[in-house]
Amino acid sequence: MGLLIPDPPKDSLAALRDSLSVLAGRGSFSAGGLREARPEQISATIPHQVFNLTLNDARLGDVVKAARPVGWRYLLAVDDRVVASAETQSLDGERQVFSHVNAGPFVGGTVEALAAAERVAGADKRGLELRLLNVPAVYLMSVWLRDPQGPSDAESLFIPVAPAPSVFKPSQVYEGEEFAALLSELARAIPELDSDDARGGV
Amino acid sequence: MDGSTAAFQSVDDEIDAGRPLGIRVAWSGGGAHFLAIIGYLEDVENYVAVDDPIYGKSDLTYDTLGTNYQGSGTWTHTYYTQA
Repeated sequence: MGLLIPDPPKDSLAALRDSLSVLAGRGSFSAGGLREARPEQISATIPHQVFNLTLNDARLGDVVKAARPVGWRYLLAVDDRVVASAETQSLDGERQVFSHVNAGPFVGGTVEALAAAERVAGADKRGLELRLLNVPAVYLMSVWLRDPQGPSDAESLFIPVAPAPSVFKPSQVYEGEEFAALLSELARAIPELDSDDARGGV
Repeated sequence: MDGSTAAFQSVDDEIDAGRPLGIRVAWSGGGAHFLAIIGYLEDVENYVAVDDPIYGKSDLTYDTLGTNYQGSGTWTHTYYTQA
């Protein structure tokens, strides 16, 4: 049926526009592609809700039930070319506030993963809703496709975004069970440290 | 090293002196990560620029960096540099 792009909350779009206006008005972006753009040239496209998974939940392989919504992400385009991403985040689980604009490698990786997602969704009888799963403790971002009309999220599909950890192939489609098993193996390889241990993690 | 965050004004002072700051963030639910603060937005409170070995360059609010980096990270330690 195709890829379903959800409508973001109005306060997310408003918060994003306010901050982009401040940053664009001063030419202050770290993203080179945005620095020279006028505010009206920047479009926020392909909204998708972001879900985070903790290291502990990743170890347990409990992806779809444990992932919690943290905000909304957009791809920022100038003259139809994607040059950055931007996110808003939930404040106290309710109001959306501006979080950040990013110009790193996951931007191009997302564009590539979305091309794969459109192919998969186009060939699927179901309409598949676009989400993003972020597992920062193992540096994994993945497109998450789910059937909003389905009985559960158990039949979700995942498409890792480049650069992905080596156990995953970027832009390849994984069934939920295989994805969770690979992620669990990856997470269990991370040393367990106390939260106040200044040595860090990965 | 300082086992805490740096105040926004302190970030301004360090950047103005040509000294980027290294910081550690702890991920909620386990693990941690290191990145650098490389700039701030003059005259507008609350915006900083970071460079991250994994996520690349971002412009973000000081509040996000303090408690919700990548939707998960809490700033725990600051590493001051010399110009």
